[in-house]
Amino acid sequence: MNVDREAAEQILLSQVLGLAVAGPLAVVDTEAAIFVVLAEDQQDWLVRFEKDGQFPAAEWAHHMVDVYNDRLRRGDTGDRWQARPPGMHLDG
Amino acid sequence: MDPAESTVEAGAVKSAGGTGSAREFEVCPVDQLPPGGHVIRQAGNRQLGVFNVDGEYYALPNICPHQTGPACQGKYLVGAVRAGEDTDWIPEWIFDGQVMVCPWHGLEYHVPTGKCLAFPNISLRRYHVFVRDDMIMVRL
Repeated sequence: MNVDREAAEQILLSQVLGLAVAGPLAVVDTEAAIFVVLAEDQQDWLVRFEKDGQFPAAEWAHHMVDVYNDRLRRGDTGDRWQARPPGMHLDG
Repeated sequence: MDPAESTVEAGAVKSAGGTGSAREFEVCPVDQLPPGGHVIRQAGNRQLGVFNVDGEYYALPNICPHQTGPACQGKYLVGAVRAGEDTDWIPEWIFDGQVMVCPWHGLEYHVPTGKCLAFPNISLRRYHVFVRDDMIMVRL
């Protein structure tokens, strides 16, 4: 498949599903922090978890990636996770 | 007018090209994002929340590190309560109008810094936001 077309389809799918990122996430471990990044471009980070004291940065990062990639595989829009009424959402 | 009510439409933003590997995207005209308002926009392969906090613009990824919910999609910007030894454990209201609340499980983030209030070791990325010809732009 044409790469541009594949990327466009991923974006469209993520929009239809309401997912935040079109494509899987990955974890990048550095000396000071752990980053959750786009798997297709590991310089392109979304969240930084500082390695500091007792904070389980690696556990948080891997959990986030596992949850998101699993949602992506299953096409899970996350509607069942919404804990607040629709009126409390921006598009509610 | 309730600023949240004026910015409810989420939609794709238009790429304005850019130089090198940086990509720029149109968000909306400045008059469509008043102080206290925010919008959700698609910028390339991700959703962003773009905020106007007291006249300053900020953009954060619309994903919560907790359970990957839509962190920026809470309807209102609020503040937070804190208490500590320095306040003799008397609660004080801080960051008024600067805090977004993930609508899934209520994790709070300070929009200007991207920091999670409950877990300060966690920071969302802040994207560069600027205005060009009365159009709010974001650069990835």
